[in-house]
Amino acid sequence: MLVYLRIFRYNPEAGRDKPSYDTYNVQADPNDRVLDLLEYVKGEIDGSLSYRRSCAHGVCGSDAMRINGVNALACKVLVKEVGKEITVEPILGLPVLKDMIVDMEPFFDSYKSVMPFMINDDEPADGKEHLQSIEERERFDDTTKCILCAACTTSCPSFWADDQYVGPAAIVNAHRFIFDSRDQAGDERLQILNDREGAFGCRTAFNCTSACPREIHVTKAIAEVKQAITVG
Amino acid sequence: MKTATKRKSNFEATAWKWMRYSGFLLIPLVWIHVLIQDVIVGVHAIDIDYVALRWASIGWQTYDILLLAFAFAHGMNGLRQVAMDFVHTERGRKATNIGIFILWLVVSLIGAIAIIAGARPELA
Amino acid sequence: MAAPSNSLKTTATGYVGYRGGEWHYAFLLHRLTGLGTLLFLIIHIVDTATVYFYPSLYEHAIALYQSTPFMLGEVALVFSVIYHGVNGLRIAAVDLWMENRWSIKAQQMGVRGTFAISVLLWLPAAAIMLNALLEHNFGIHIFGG
Repeated sequence: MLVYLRIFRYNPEAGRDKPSYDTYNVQADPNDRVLDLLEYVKGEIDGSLSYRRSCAHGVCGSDAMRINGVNALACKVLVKEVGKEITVEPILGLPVLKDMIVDMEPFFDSYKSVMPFMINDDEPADGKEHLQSIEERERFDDTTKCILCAACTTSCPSFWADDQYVGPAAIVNAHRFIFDSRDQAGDERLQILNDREGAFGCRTAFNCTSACPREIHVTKAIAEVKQAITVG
Repeated sequence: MKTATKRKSNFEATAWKWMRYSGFLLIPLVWIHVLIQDVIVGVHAIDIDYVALRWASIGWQTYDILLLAFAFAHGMNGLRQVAMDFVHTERGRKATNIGIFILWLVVSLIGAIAIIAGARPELA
Repeated sequence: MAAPSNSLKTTATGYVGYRGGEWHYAFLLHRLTGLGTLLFLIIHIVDTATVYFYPSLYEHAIALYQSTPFMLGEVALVFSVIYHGVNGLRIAAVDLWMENRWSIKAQQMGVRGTFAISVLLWLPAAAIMLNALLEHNFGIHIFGG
């Protein structure tokens, strides 16, 4: 099938300092992924096209972009799912560096602000490891699936308006430790998120949950963090 | 490593709860008010005598005070939340908060005084 | 060099252009109906307060509300109040005690359901109000003479 492809372009170093769109008519198989189309354009038509991709199989989380107005991983969206006209744009709310490549530093700064690592100073009871029951592990299983692709955070209306808002991804990763029975810094994380720029910046628009390529219940995780703050 | 985090105020958590619980109360309060005044009575049947008669009853006076208190504070907090989305500097936020607070206080007082003192149709 | 990021422009692009699903429009409509109702509420409190502070002004305020544009606005206001309430109930319910309803399917149903319920509640009210508008402002009597 013939696909009409519109690709966002921005490259100040090469004189393209005004965002614009390049269009291509590309022959594609319905089962091709959108990433395949980008690879074709970069390999065969215009080598200057820039985007991040690493594993190309939905695990590394590097190729989040807006495809026909919705955040997704280009390596997980099939042509037949989005139709014959495909527009590809960078994710919203992070500074665009070049074409589909955005500056992820603000995103990772927010991620780091919730202390996304295990904090436990105690000696393990058996001297070797901190044990956990199956039920205790299940409590935060959903939020361990995050691959930090930023699809959720950049789909969030609160984040678009206010880049100081910590964003869904950071709250998901806080949730992963707050509800981990082995961790001891849950209260501190809840205090960090007890703020307008924390969990209460969330307006439950739900875009994040539908944008997540790992099908994490993002809005639910944020709601649980809010509950933990208001109850605790 | 454990870092000591300063305990923050629970203002946003309280505001979050306020929006939900006041919302529950506002559904019957506002809907009944709108149903009576806008739909059943209609704006063509409303004049100062109608208002005077309504506020002569302590029941409707109480009802309207509750409506004023809950609806307006709910709405102004909503406005504050929308405004904080778009005002990012500390100074700008402080000024916006003060402005919203003053507007809330002044308009609430104007409304409350009118409801409690009642209409004065003899001066119309 | 990064493209200058502008939160207002980003927000406008996202609000208008993002195609995340019906919940995105529910969020926008919730804001719009909330802010619209608040704007009316401020005017309404102040104009009603004239019955005590400046009684001779009140009839002018009411005359304005009886004009056709304001009566049409009133019909929109009633929709705003209904939608903001029904949709707010959905948000508060999942936030507070129906956490298992945070799935995509459930929210899709929830958002469509809240819109449908709002329209159903609004239609009879709108019919009555539009009938009053025709009767008083245009002398048209649809029901009986």
